[in-house]
Amino acid sequence: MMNRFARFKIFSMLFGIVYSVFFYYNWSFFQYYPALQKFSRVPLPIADAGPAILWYAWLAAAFVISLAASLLIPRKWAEKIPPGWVWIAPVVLVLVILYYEKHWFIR
Amino acid sequence: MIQILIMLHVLVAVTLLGAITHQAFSVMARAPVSAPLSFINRYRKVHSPTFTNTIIVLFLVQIVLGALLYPRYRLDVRSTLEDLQLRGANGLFEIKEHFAAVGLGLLPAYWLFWQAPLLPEYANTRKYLTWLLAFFVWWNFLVGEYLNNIKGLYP
Repeated sequence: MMNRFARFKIFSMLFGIVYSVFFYYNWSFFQYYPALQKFSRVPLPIADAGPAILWYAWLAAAFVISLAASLLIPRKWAEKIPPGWVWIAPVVLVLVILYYEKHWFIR
Repeated sequence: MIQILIMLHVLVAVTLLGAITHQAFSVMARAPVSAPLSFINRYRKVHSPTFTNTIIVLFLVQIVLGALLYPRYRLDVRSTLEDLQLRGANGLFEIKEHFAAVGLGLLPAYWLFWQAPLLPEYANTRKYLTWLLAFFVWWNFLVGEYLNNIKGLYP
């Protein structure tokens, strides 16, 4: 079972990292405008469209890129990933997120 | 409609909280067989693998419900928090959405390490993945409740 689905480890390790890179750089392939109730491929002016939600795009990007990478990377490589990395990577990510978001609490 | 979605979000959250907390306790070091059957020991003595698929389904449902509620939050709640200069509350929500995303990505690995047979060499990975998910679920629940009740907390 562990070898058959070894690619799951890659997906799980990459998903959070890709998501974080996208949110850090504010990259998004699309945005959702709740005031207009519509998705847009291009950013719209805030005066006309209101605030945009990028979270959906970050999740979609993380899903697509992690899935592609986990399918492209050979299974043999995935099998060799130490199991500890699967939880250490998100723990590091949590610390990075908390550090990055500290500006909300410290002026 | 929005009230129904919020109620559903809370109910699923409570169910998820119960399931993940049970499993998180169950992967702690086992008490000796001779130890008295205290409340905590009974609480831990569950068949943890049976929770796995339920936790994954509930987590996914929570993501969908959260995504459906997000537009209303972005328009009404966030702008109110900004008007009231409650930066900390906004920050807590930002962290909540990031933790939900990281937790979502962890689900495949979490599922994998909980598959039978539960090999002892993966016990630590299983434990830490479960604790991480439990941490995300608890954080998101508490922040969600705080934001939901914020009007009553600040005059």
